[in-house]
Amino acid sequence: MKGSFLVTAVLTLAAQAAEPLPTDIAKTIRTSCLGCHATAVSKGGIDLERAAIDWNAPKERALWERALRAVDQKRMPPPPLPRPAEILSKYLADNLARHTPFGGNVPRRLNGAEYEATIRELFDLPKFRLPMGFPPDTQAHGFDNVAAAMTMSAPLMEAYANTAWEIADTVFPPPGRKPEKRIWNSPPPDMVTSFSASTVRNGVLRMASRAEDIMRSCTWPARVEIMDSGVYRLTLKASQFKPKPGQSMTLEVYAREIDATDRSKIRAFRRVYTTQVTSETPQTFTFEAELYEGQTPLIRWANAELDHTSEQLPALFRERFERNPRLLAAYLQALHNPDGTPRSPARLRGRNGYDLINRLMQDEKLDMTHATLDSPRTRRMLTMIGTIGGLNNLHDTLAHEYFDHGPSLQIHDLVVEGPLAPAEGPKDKKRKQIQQALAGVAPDAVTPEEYARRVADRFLPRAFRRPVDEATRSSFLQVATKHWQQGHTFDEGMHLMLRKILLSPRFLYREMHPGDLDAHDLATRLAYFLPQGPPDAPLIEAAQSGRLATPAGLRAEADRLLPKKPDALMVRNFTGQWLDTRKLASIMPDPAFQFSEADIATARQEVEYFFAEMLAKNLPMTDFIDPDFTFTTKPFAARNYGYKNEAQNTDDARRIVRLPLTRGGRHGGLLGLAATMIATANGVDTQPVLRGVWVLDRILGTPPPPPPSDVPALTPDIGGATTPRELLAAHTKEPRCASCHTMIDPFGLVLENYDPVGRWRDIWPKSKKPIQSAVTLPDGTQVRDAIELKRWLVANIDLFSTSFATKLLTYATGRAPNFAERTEIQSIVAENRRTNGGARDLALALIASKTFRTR
Amino acid sequence: MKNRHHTPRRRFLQAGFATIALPALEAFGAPEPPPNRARTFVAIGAYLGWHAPAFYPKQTGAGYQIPPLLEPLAEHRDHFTIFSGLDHRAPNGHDAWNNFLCGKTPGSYSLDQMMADRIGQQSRFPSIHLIAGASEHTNGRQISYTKEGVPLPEIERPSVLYKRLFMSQADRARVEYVLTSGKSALDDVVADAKRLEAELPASDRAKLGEYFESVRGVERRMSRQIETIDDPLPQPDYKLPETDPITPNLMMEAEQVLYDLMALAIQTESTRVLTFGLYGLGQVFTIDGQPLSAGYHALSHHGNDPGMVRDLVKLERSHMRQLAGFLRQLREKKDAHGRPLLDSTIVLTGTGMGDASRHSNRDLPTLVAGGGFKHGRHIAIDQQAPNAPLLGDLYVTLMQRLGMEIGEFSNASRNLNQLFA
Repeated sequence: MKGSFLVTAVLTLAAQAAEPLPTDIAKTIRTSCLGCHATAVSKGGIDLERAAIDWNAPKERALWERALRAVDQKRMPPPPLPRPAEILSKYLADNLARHTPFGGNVPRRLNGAEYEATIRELFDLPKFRLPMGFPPDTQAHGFDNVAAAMTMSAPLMEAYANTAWEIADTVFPPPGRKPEKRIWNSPPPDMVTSFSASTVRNGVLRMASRAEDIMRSCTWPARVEIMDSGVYRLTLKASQFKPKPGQSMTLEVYAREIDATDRSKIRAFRRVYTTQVTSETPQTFTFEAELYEGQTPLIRWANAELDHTSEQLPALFRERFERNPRLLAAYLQALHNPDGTPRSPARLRGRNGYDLINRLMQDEKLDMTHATLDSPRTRRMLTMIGTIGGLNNLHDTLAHEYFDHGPSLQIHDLVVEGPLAPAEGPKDKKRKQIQQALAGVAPDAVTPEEYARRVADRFLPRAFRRPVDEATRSSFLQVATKHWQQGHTFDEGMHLMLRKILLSPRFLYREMHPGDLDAHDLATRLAYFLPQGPPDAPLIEAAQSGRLATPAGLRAEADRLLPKKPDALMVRNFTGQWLDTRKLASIMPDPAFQFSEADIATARQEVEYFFAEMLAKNLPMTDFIDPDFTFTTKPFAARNYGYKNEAQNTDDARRIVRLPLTRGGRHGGLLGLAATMIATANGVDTQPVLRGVWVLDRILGTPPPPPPSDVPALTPDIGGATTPRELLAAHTKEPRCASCHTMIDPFGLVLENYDPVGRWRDIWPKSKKPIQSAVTLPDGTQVRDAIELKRWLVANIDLFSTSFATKLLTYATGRAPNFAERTEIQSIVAENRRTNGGARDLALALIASKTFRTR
Repeated sequence: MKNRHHTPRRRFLQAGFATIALPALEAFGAPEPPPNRARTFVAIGAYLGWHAPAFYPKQTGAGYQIPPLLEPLAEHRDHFTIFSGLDHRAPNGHDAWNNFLCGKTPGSYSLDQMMADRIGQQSRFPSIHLIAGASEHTNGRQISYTKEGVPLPEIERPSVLYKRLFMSQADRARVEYVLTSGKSALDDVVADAKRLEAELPASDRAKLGEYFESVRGVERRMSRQIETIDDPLPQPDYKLPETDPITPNLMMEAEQVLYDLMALAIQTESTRVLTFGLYGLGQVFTIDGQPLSAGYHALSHHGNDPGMVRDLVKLERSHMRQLAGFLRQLREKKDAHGRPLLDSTIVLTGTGMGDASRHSNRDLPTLVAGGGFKHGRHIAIDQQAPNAPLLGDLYVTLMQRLGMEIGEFSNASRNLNQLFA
């Protein structure tokens, strides 16, 4: 006793700034805390015994913040010990809020996505991508742009150096090779045949479709790759095969990049020639066309009947069935089971399907019973053929009818010769454009020194996102001039200068200065938060004029830059990390759910459209939980949310639309979306604990501490007879588990009606028992199911709003808000509710906050 | 549009951070490895899988009758072992294909990278990654992933691989310029960054300290590269085709050329870890003068239709013919100690997809050749047996054969040393 008094006295002396504890507080701490956390005991390494608290010491604040959290979450004092007097929480909260300084972050390195967006913007290279193999970003506090986690390392630096080299190569390339003239002969066996786009018969290539997908319609020489951009002479020999009377076949030649994906659409390429093929004897077409480095000619029959869309397919079949009832009978047999029920066309693939049809046609016992155009079975089959959108099998099979029986366009030979003359390719044009934009003048219009000076004046402030002083400017300028003095070329000098810029910390890091952000750092923060790129011209102007420093100026810019569309980078990157829907790419639902990769994409889009709508329409925060609308495709809504599928055609079926929803229902809102329920399951089973933790962390903003390391992950529904509920009950019996799992499990169990892909279910799949989702929430509220949980959340909407606001500011500022900042967030949330503000109002108020404006 | 993300023709110098040439720590003709120790690892993975009924022999053990798909490999029968019944218990679907070398969790630290990190560092290229037959972007479906889960780029063009392996004098002059001017750019950047640092408070200087430390790390590496730029490189006499066979229907030709270059890379001890992805989409192959009845991907969805299966096996046999040629080269070419390369080279041929027709990633057909193992058998694993071995257990055995002291891989923590040595 005596000893501890002495220690306390010494401590009090040492901490001059410390504030003595008021008597009633000291008494509360003594009775509620010191039983375990007196200096002599220090259970768990926590010592709370002192006569005064030095609120200016960060360590002390951290300790008392931890204590406050434990008390508020009712973890301390551990039940059944009595709760401490209310005054303790208030005393601690007030002092923490008053004494915690705002901010405290370090400079932020641009993360991968930011770097990519910056290069795209600075050099006007909209397709620039980080090279594959670039080191990834690490996440902290749930996001991949948190300053503390944006570390630098030698491999990363090397990656930056290599990437800078590639960018500089684009703008100031190394000397090219001397063009070599040559001739390529491409007979049909050297032409690409892909799926049923074409086939070779008697040494001649036949084509049948004009599908948008080039791999379903086009052909190109496999061994031609243009090395030197230039004018080439092409000689093409083509003819008609069994044309319709008077038919003229339009043959088009495009220039395709040889390494473009075969999934490209025809519109991605440049057309270089069009002609009409009008005769069954081969016609020779000779023409000149510009082809650029890396390209090869691509041939398309532009007015073929077959186009690989469902809409026109029944008519094409009908026409052939009319001519040949045996063909109809064969298809009827192939597309029906013996009992007369329809059968999937899955096995009718390409020539294999065609061969099957032919075998059936030649079969003497072919059943001709239904083989008339007006039989109910034929009519039903034709309807089906016209509605199975996206299935290419039947088109590919039909293509072979054209190959064998016409009409078909035949290619006999292709010769490419050149270059006859050099030509400027798109890369050359782009390069000149960038060179012009960097300096505001073309390199050959001024001296090299003058060009470099103008790059320094114009480009450096853009790259460094702030005005550049003279010393810095000349240090970058000298790189080029010194290199030239050593005998290097103009391009090499500029190449080096550009690389130095792209490796400078002034470029790679942002928000360099601590404390209140100056106008340029504020503009930068706003730009990378909202449009997610470097500041644009109006924003730079607002920073320079001082407008951004005013509340109205900041609000105006924030309002202008808040995302308006679902495909905005901010929407994708923020929701993907906040709600974990980024995980969707790596979760493949079990085949039993019949959930395709396209469905996964739709699920992700639902979230993005929903979030964008919340912001754009400034909808009330409660709509995040229980809205009267949802975004999805019509077929998806039919399969997953119990709507009637009203899609008119394939295009309509692919479109994301806003569908009305009755409030208080099973679906809609963050908890009823397929994407969030997939992200919180493993593709096969639901994971109630995972979902519970997700709700606590992402929706309520109160993540539980990580689990002890010696506990195996729970696999629900083991052994068939045990329900997840019974398994989870084990948690609450074990005291060590109970303190967290009484918080976690209810939020997971109550969502058990959503299966691993977010569809509603009433029965546990393995045990076949009815799902019991009724739970008692940590605050004592009893809810029966997800619908009642939503109701509870709507009634306590500030819990969600605060969580959302905290995540948004963490993402914007690159740090987890501290106590004072969280206090500010809470008051902004409360004020926004008091004034009936919506989601957009809240976002704008958060951007105006001191938290946002401090580094 | 250009989203295949493979290395373009002109970019043989950089691009692909794991494949930048390092000066070799060990000179050509490294000490002879002890018997029962392999030196080099090659993994060959078929994106659309191998047709298991044609891959697995009906009998187990040594006296099996060679299955149709493996007939082209018959001459090497005593140099390989067939495994059936192994997999990683990984999720299903095309997107999980990379479980082939990643194990249970697609996209995690892959077998080849574990090897490259431990045994690859002494050679000029820690690892080399190749692909053939890709006609679409393969993002997320690469074979190789670093410890941090980053997919590694794959080289598709023989001309690029050749230039990387065996640089000409002109190429070397260019590389030297790249390195020296790169180093000078970094020197300049440091000078400017120091001025910036002076303006910053102490807390921020620590952050910038990371930056300086990183720059120094890169400079050290570059210095080492500059010092060794004139070291003699092997200059094999090999004639590349006039055009890179990168169009997907020239896949078999691409395989042949890339296998030739792989054998050269192994012979010249340029690397100890190679992966080779056999991709496939719509390309229709003509085999023995006969066009197949459908594109590669369509054939893989054969639905057990006999015609489709017949063509699929025909196509896969064509891959096996290329592989047989590769194994033949490894048997004929000798290392510096006069031993056939195959004796010290493990060639793992497999896939991450057990049955492409159903997108199932169970029961992955696997074949191991060379590496000094006792071969000639079909080892059949009963998946249903309690504690059935996993494919990862075989991988542990392969790693140990390369001299790595390692006891686990992904979800596997045993080995197959008892069954296979």
